[in-house]
Amino acid sequence: MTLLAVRGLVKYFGGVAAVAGVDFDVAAGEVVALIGPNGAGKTTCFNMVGGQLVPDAGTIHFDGHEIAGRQARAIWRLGIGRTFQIATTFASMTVLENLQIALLSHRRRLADPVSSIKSLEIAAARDLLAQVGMTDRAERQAAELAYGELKRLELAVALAGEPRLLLLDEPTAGLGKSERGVLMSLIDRVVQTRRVAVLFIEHDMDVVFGHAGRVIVLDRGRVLIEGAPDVVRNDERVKDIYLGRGAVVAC
Amino acid sequence: MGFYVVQFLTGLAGAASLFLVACGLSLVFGVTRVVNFAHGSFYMLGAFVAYSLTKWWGAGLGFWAALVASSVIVGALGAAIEVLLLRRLYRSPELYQLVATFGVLLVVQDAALALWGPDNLLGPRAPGLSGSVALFGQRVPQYDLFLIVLGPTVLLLLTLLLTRTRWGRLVRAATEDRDMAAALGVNQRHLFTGVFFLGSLLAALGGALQLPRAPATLFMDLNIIAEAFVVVVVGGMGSIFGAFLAAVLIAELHAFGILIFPQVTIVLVFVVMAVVLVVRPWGLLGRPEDARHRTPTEIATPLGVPRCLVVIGLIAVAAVLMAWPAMAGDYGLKLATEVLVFALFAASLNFILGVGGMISFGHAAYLGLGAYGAALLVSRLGWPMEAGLVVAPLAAGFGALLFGWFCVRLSGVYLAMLSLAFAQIAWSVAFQWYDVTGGDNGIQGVWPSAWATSPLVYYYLALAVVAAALFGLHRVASSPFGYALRAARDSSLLSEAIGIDVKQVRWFGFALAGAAAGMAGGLYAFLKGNVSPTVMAIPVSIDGLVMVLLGGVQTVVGPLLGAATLVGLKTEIASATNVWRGVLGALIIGLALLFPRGIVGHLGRWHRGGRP
Repeated sequence: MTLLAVRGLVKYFGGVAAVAGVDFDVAAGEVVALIGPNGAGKTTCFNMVGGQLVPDAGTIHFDGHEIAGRQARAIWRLGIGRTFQIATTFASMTVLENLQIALLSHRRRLADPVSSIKSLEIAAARDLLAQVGMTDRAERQAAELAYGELKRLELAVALAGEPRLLLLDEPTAGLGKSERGVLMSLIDRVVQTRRVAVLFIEHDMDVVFGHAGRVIVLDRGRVLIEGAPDVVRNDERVKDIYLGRGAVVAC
Repeated sequence: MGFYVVQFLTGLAGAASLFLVACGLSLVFGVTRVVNFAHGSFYMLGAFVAYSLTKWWGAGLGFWAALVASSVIVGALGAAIEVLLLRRLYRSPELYQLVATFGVLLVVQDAALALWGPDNLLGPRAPGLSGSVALFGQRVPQYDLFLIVLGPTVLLLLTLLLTRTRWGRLVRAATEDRDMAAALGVNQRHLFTGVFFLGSLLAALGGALQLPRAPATLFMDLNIIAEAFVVVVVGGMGSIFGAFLAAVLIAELHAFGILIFPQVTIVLVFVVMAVVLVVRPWGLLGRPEDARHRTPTEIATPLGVPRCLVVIGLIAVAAVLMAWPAMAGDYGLKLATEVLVFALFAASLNFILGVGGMISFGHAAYLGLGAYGAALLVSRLGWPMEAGLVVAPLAAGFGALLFGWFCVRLSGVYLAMLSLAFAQIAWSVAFQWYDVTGGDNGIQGVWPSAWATSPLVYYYLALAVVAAALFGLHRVASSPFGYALRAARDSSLLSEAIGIDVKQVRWFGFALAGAAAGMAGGLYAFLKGNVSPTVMAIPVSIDGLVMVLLGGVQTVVGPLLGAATLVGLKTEIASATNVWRGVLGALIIGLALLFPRGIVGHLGRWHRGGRP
């Protein structure tokens, strides 16, 4: 079943078409990697699906709703969670509070100016924390976390909204080899237990071909090729855009 | 017809000085990212220095020479202030920069008072241009025509300077992307000092040019800075042509508004500003704010003080407050009540500043709305004090809802400038709407109900109300709504991405803080027995910021400590010397330099063994 359907998506920055007519689908529960060289338009696509940018043309259907141009917060309520290229959390709050606030927002309880937040959504927050393996970090301030922990917290925050689609913008960027493994197996587990679809941007080809069920390659604002990892890996055009003509793909 | 043309020309002439001041402000901000409050002081000094030089050199060409000399002298003074003070604050949070430059303004005010005296100074007619020209059967002063030509000329010269010279290109590069310019090997120190010189020179020129049109006064600095903020916000920060356009717009509003009746100009300015900000939040010719350029509001660092110590501290403070009447006479009680009132005012400001991350530079507007709301109800409608104290937070809350709707659409220094402009509008209304507000005289006879007239009872009443309000604010700050505000402050991007309506949350937070300030205003009105426009003047807004700064931006007990320190200091200094503004200003500058995190914040740092 198609969960996300993107058609004819276009975005200009000044006179430059960062995204110049992109079509793709993501099915429910599917893990799809969005790859391509720098400037291919991957993050711009993400920001249009997530509501951070308004497309200049095209449609984005999510679960029967047209979401192109809608507010990020409305899109989140429909069930699309996301992380950012540079991990973004609420730096002044503790890890637990980061999750509480996301959960409270999901349950529409943020308008409450009276109750103390201390006791609210604690169980659910701890549960999420356990899922990303950070139970021992609950009382730490987010600003004090290591980058790998920050990425996991960001993922947990995105999961608080019980999304059916996760947009992960470079989930393993800035992480060491072992941290990458931890984070990706975490994401695999989330996909299995929650049956959530994942669309992720990634530059590490080991991660892409180890975890994606399907790969979409963007180049200069268009879809160059899409298909199973093996097909994409052996496509000459993909080798060209990544390594230049005549080079050998190392991955 | 001719009449309107002439009126239009008068407006254009008035725009010249406003443009000079505003574009100087804009230039300085573009490069240094500092909103210079003292910019208005340079304008004032320009006029004063030119006045003295003209006297010295005699009439004739003396005025024109004085115009140039005064601009250069004040420009050099601006450069000196940049080197000695601002250079040390470029890495500090915006709040400290703004407050420090306000300290400069206070010092300059008292220095000017000492050097030139309190009287208005009537300048000379401009030699050679003292006559008038007949146009459409009306007489237009030659000097006005000169100003009309001067404005666009300066605009052209500045444009040439910025586009055709190497120095100008560096200025534009630094405005576009400061870090990149630095990475390319631009000597920032020289560039910043140079820009400051130019900006101050333009302000001084604007002031000196006003001499033949209007007397130089000690109020010029604050009046012009508020108008310059409006011009910069409307025209678009960093756009010189935008500043010109907005200056013409505002000046024409004044020129024509005055034909209907003088008071309407304030409303017109408000409407124009509102419309522009709704349609183009970044100003007529400005560009949408680039998130990269924004200085992130300082992140809250919990003090790390053990909870038991906080409790002991609170109990100690409560004990002192409860026992105070036993130690003090009526005067001491009134002083302590004033401290309580300002503690609530500071705490409400601390709420939007610390929890909401919004720098309000016009928070006194809500103190004033509360005070006036209560005073009007009691003196005009004859309602009792109790009703006045209920209406005070409501009146201020509504005001904050109205102004806040616009303010929350901006952030950082833009928000600061807009909030100040709104406060200045509220002040002008109180000042000019004589029939209702009593104008300059204010409203007299705002006394408490019979049971609360004794200073002792009123002290306890204020203590109860303030304690309840402080507890309420603290409660909200730790509620889900308070955390939504914090979330919006930490990252509006992520907040929106998890379903938080950032603008709405900020709006309600702003209104709540306004209501709390209004509560303080109501108490203040009955404490003093009268209300005058001074209660919402710019210095009161700054007092609030200084209290917050003294107490530390992110702390709970801070506002109380800050209010006690400032009210105490002011009383002490005022009784010891008549240059209290200057002393206070110097103190503010010193504090901003020594304690860029506030006093309580620093205590917290020592407590943790010097860790930042």
